[in-house]
Amino acid sequence: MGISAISRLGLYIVVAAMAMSSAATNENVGAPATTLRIASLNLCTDTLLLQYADPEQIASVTWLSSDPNLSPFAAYARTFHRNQGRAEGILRRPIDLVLTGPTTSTATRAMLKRMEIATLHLDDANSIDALSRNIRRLTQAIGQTTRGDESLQLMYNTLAKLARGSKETAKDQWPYAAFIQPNGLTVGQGSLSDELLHYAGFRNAATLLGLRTYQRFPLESLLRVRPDLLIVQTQHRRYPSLAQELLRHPALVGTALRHEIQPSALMCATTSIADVAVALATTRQRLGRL
Amino acid sequence: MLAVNLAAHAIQCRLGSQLVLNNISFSAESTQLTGIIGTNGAGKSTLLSILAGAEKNFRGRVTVGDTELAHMPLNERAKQIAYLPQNPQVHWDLNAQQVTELGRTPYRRRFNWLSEPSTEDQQAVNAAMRSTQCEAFAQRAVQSLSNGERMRVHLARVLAVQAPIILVDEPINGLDPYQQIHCLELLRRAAQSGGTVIIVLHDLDLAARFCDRLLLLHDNEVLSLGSPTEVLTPANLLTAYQIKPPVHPNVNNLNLANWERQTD
Amino acid sequence: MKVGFTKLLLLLATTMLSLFCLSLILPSSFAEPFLLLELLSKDSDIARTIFLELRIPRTSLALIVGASLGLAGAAMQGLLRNPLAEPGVVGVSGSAALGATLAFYSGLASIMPLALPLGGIAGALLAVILLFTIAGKRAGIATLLLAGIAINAIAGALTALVLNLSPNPFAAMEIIFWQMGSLADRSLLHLQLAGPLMLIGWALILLAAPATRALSLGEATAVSLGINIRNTQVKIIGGTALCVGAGVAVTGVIGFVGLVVPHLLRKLCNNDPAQLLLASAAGGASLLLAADIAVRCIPASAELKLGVITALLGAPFFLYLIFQLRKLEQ
Repeated sequence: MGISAISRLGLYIVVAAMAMSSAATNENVGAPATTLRIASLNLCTDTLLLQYADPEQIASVTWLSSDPNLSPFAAYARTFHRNQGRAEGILRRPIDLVLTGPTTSTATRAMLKRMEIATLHLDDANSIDALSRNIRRLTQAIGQTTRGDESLQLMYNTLAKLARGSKETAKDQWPYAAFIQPNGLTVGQGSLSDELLHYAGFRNAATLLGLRTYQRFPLESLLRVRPDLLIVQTQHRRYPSLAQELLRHPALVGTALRHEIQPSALMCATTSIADVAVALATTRQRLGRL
Repeated sequence: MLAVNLAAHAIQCRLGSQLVLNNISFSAESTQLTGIIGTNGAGKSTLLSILAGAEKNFRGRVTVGDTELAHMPLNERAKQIAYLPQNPQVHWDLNAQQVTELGRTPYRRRFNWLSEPSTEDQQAVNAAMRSTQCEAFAQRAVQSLSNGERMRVHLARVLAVQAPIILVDEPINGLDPYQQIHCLELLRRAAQSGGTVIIVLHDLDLAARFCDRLLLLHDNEVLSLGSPTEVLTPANLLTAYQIKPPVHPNVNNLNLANWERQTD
Repeated sequence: MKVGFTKLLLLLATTMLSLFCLSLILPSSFAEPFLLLELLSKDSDIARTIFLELRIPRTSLALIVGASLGLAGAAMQGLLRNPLAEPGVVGVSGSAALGATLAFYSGLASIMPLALPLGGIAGALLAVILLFTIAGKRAGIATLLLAGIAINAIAGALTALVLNLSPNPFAAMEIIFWQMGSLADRSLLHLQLAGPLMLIGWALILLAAPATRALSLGEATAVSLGINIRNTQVKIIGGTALCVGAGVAVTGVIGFVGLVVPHLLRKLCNNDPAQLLLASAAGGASLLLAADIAVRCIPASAELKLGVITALLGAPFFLYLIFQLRKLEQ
């Protein structure tokens, strides 16, 4: 009635443009990489995203990834938008896919579902196979399957080579290693770190006492069992904590060789765990020569 | 017991912003029971605690014999002056014997606090308990005794110190007449054996009967000092207590119950 | 009467020493043999290391910290004439924890190890002085407890703040150690840091022992009996700050020992506050040794914290005491 022909045309153009852009953003998952914007709400999914996605694809990562103690890509992560692991932080941005992990609250995941935003949930990998599955699912979702496959292949090759090397000695001749995390927590059977030990040619001292992951390895038992190697985290030098003081207990000093791992190397599983295993194998050779 | 007298010289005491005592001077002699009387809030308890050395915040001097109280070492003073404050407390479930033994504290050797009391101490304690007739309930907890029995235990403690000067603050409050008279008799006997005894009390009849000298405080100053006859005159009592007798009173029989309040 | 005390002290000392020896050699689980047997066997290197570096520090600390807590509790009760005064309840231990965490997490204790117990002592001193100012002069039960609640609340909040502000990621969770107390994995260094300072604290408190007796009759009478009140206050306040402060710095807050032990032993000591001091020291040491044996030998996936055991015993006891005292007041 009062709308002139020009404004009607303008209205058609605006609607068409919106339709086209929404069509573009509603690309189903698996379309060409350049159009997807991905946000990650979990430290470990951050790490995988930072490793495999193109920079244009990364919309947001959690603030934890900027901490060099926690993430191997800390400096790189700082160039991106930082979220707090909750939905509100990312809703204002154009996002096509949200990655969630075990630390993402059910409330957040429910909210994302209500808003009909595509999500991909990855549980923490507790074995090499699980890691492999995670990487494949992720790279498929973000359209980087080539990169994913290449890195996995590299990892498997390295691990296979290590396994061959360790098998040169009989398993009951392998040295014992014990993981001693802050607070004396150890790593048990059936975990990713435990698998790495085997690839590197060590037996896990925790199994001697039937300890599971995140159980304390009592200091007395540690002295009795006498593992050949203690695997510890690199310590926060400037500011102490009681958790890390344990390793400076006079009873432990000088009892066994120590192998240090950066906390960020094992915090979240990536294909570079193969490097961790290689380093452990090198230490094993040093042990053999002692 | 050596005869020692206690003298106050121009005592002035200010607690907070209030002037509690102004220019108090008097002396108490041995073998005499001196009573301090006056209205509530006249400063009697404060004066007694100053004389005992418990209150340090005052101007003026207190002398014990020839020595200044302020210059006396703590332990020496404890052996010279025995003090019983108002409403004495006994924390913990101590029995009468233990409380009395505490009177010998000034004589206990410093590092022997775990050892048995000496013979001398034991004799002093026994004598004190005997004269106050506390032997019957020696092993009973003081908190469980009656008011009268409790008063006797505290007096026993004071007597156990065997100090030449005894200062007692309102010991007969809340006691029945028998106990009141008993208490004052004990104190008079202590004075007569050579002690210098000063007591704060309210009851003017008993003060007249038992005290050899009286100090009447009014308006934070000494209103009158002397024998009961000299002090308990109708003029003084009117000034100090605002009460007047119906007829001309006899100091040996004041009959205070019949006095009227002065209201104007 | 005094013969009774000698017997009591002997009994307590014997208990304490037996528990000490028991704790040294008792195995932590059924799989391990008695340490003593191991020590006597030929190949005893490991056993010796365990004995010297782990058992001796832990057991010795249990003994001296327990003694300090018992002694400090009895001393505070003697000074304040209040049976509810106890380092944990009135906030002295909590403040000690604040001082110790400040010294530790700031990195100061890494540079100068003595800063750790000194920090604890500073915190404890602040609390005792504050407490004494609020509740010193003839304060009733209510005032004392309220003051303790306030001091504990402030100290607890500030401790949590210190831990949260530490750049070390593990710090925030360590509030549990500081508030629940533990003797696990303590080393000879801790013993050396805390021990001498605690001994000084003991000496100060025991010097004030005769004064606590006279104080049973109230401050005015005590003064007239020749007690120097100011000196006594300084000795007991200083001694309490020293032994509680140094103890908390290496073990965290362990509560209720100073409440339960003096109360249980008071009648046996004929209500003598001076005798009670020594008895409480021996009794506190025994209690903590026993609790530590329980913590070490009760099978559980995570080692129980020592403060939990003492709280399980002490808190109901505390309630019971409050009821008794309220009844007496009425």
